[in-house]
Amino acid sequence: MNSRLPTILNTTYLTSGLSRGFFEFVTRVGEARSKQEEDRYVSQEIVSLKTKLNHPDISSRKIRDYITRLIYCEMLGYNVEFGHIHAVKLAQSAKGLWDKRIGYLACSLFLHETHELSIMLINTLQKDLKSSNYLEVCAALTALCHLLNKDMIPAVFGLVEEALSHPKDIVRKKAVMVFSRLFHDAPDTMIHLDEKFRQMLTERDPSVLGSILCLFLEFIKADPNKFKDLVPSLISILEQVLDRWLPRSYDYHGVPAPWIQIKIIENMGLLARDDEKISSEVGPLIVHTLRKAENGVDAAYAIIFECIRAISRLHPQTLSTIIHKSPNLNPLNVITRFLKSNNHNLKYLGLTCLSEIDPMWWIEGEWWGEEQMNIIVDCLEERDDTLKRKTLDLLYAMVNSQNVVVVMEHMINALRTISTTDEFSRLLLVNRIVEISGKYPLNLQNKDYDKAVDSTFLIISKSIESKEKSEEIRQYAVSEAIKILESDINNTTKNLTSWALRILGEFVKSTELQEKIYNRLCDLLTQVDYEIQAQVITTLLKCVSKMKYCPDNIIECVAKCCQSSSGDVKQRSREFIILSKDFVLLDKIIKPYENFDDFTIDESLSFLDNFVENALKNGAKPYNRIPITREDTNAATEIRYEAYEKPNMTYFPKQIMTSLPTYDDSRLSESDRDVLLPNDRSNQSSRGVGPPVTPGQLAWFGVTQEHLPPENVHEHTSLLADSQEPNYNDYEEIDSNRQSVISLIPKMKLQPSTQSWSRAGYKPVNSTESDKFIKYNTSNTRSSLRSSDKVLSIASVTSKTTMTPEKEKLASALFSGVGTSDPGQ
Amino acid sequence: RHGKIRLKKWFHFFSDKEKASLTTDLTTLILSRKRAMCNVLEHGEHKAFKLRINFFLNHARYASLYFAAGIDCEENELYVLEVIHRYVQLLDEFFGNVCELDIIYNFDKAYYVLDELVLAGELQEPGKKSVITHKRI
Repeated sequence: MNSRLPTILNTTYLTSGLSRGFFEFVTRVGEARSKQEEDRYVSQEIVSLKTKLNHPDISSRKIRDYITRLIYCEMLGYNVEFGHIHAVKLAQSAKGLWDKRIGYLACSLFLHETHELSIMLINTLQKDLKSSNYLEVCAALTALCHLLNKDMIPAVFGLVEEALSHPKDIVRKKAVMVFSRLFHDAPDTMIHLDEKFRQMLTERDPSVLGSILCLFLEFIKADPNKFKDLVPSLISILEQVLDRWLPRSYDYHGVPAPWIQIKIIENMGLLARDDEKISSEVGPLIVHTLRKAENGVDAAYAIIFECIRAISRLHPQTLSTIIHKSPNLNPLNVITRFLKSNNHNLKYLGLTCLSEIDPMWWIEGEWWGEEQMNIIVDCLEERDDTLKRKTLDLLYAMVNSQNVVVVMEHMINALRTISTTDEFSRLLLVNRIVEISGKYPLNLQNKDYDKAVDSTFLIISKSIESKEKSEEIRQYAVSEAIKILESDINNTTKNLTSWALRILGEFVKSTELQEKIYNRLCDLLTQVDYEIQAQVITTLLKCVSKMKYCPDNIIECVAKCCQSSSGDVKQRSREFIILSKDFVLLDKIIKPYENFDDFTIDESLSFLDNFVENALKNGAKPYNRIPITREDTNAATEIRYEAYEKPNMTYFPKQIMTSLPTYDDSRLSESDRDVLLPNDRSNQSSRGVGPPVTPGQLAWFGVTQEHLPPENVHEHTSLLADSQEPNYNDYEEIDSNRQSVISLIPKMKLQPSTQSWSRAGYKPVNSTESDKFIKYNTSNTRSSLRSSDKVLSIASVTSKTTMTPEKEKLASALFSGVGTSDPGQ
Repeated sequence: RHGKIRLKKWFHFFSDKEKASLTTDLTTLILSRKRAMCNVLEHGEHKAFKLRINFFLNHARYASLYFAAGIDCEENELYVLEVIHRYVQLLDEFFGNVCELDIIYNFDKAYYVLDELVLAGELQEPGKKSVITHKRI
């Protein structure tokens, strides 16, 4: 500290009016080079302060000094609880204004409303409130604002009320603020002061005006109807402000009293909500304010923002008049300017404004168009976190039945990229996603719906880190699912039902709902069509496996299903009957959802190589890939003039690529795609249910039209029916004399990302000849969620240039439906 | 050396633990912001109060000093930005060309000015003059 001498003459030291000790203390702490050093200094200081303060007789100057140091320590984050009582004492015993101020300052910083020591201040406060020195009154009022609590109210209420009429405007202003604070705690006590407050609106002094407006804002938020008569006075005040009647000192960068303007506009906006008359009175004025504020200063932007907010609250009638006047005069054009600017703050402002305004008003052509959408899409990928989130908010606000898929995708992506520590935003996102998917289940095409459902499933099972929250969300999902199932099944879409069944199957845990669920599921079996039946059976199976208990009536119900005409249902019900008796086996088959990550898919079925070799050695014929076309390729070029023979296979599929001929309905059902494991070349599969299958023709392609043909066709192995569609994986248990493969329908859609899910389920049921079972994996290597043409992937945008056309597509996808249809809320 | 708090004021009742956690969160957030980024940060929900706290930073302007305000999500963000700016203007007038040292050594006065400006969480005194005159007494 070789600079000690000059520091005495240091200007800051001199002006601070504080002792040398304090100054040195602060300097030392400030120059501490490391946290430990700082710690050391501060704790030393605290210790010495403790002893010094406990001295019985110190001059007030010294106390003041010590208390100031205490404040400093507290600010740095150290605990100075012992000093609180001294602060109170100082406030009480202070003679001069300075001491009093420090005392009150310390109290308001150290104490808080529920602190015990605050009660001790009541006396002091009362004394000061009555004092003739207005500064003391001010100090007391200021402290009150921080320390007010229920006990104090009766003691000081009357005095503060008096202060409302104090000659000094400062005092009045502070009194009003105290009341505004009081409103939070005890609104009833202030009802009788209503008249007084209204009168104060006509105050000359702008500062009091400002605080009254704050107060009224609170009132209006609580109950707008009572204050609708204030509108004329608010209007006149605003007009005066705009005409620059207020003294110059209230100008701010050329904008007249922006704060007052903002408060008034906020008030008006709240009052005009849903009220046409007021809206019409207030609307034009707001627009006028907006115009006046367009001079490029920050404060002006704040005003503009508030104006737009208020506009968004206006009654729709007024709103439409305002907007439709003419495109140049449309006040909402400012939003476009905000969005276009480079300043991030302004962009943020634009986005927030947009989310405030109901998408109904984004009518294309008038002031809104592709351009803005492009900007928004850009914002989605900004590195700036806040902008990203705001854009997501915006997307959420503008979701409608047409762009819901795209929006969902983005939200889900965002969910993945947001860091796991930020629980709040993840929760928010999840809530929103769930809400959206709840609102728009019906209009979606099946494929898109799949993706959306996939994602919700993913979310439910994975996204929340903490265990209890996961549990909560799962239970919630389960209860929702139950609700869905309990409602009239004919009214619910298939998709929703299947989703509900999946959820139940995976996540049901509590045993109390068991009976309910079982019964309901049984009922369902009789009511629904075969697709859902199949799912119900599998859900039952999963429930049974979890609860290890299968009541007889269920078995009966399911047994009835064995007679079903649908092969799938029959299959499943038979499996169910077998498996429900064997819990060990069931356990191995049905693995819980979380273990998914461990699954890897071996597409080439290399693990089957041994088996295949053995079979080949034993004389089985190698796999003969069936011709895809119905007719011989040789004959393809000739035109046939005679009629064809009647087909001998009743189930021969009409389309080349369709699902299994074993089903009655060979159309593809989105929820239930069975991919059969082709059996081997030898005699077959008497699945017992299927149609007579010609030898050698055992590959069932289970693909949909939109997907690529299967990728892996191994010579040796039986065909791997590679379905590209995110699908259920199936394991068919075919009761042949040779093999059985257990068929389970895991009810999981494959995930958009690279994970392929499958259920590995295989266990010999009756292993007579072969001990091995075909391990069947359907791999879905379709890794991209965005496999459709319509919706483009935006998630991995790296450079802007390459993605522009796609972005535009995205923008238009997002924009579709906005402003035209009913928001569907 | 980084992340020292020079002034802090709570307008809402938070428990000590919450205060500490909010403070540390804020410091980390602030130190990771870059220049051109937005001034508004969303933070999170406070369970008891159902506030969505937006932290509001104002950094680029004031040399090495950051001013932050935590506000409710309902609040007009630019409004608060202006309040912060106003506060700095006031400090400037009060101290005459204020610098960080001034605030360090005269933090009690800075608190007073703040008290005049913002009471009970609301801007109470938009006029520059009165604040200064009041305080100089």
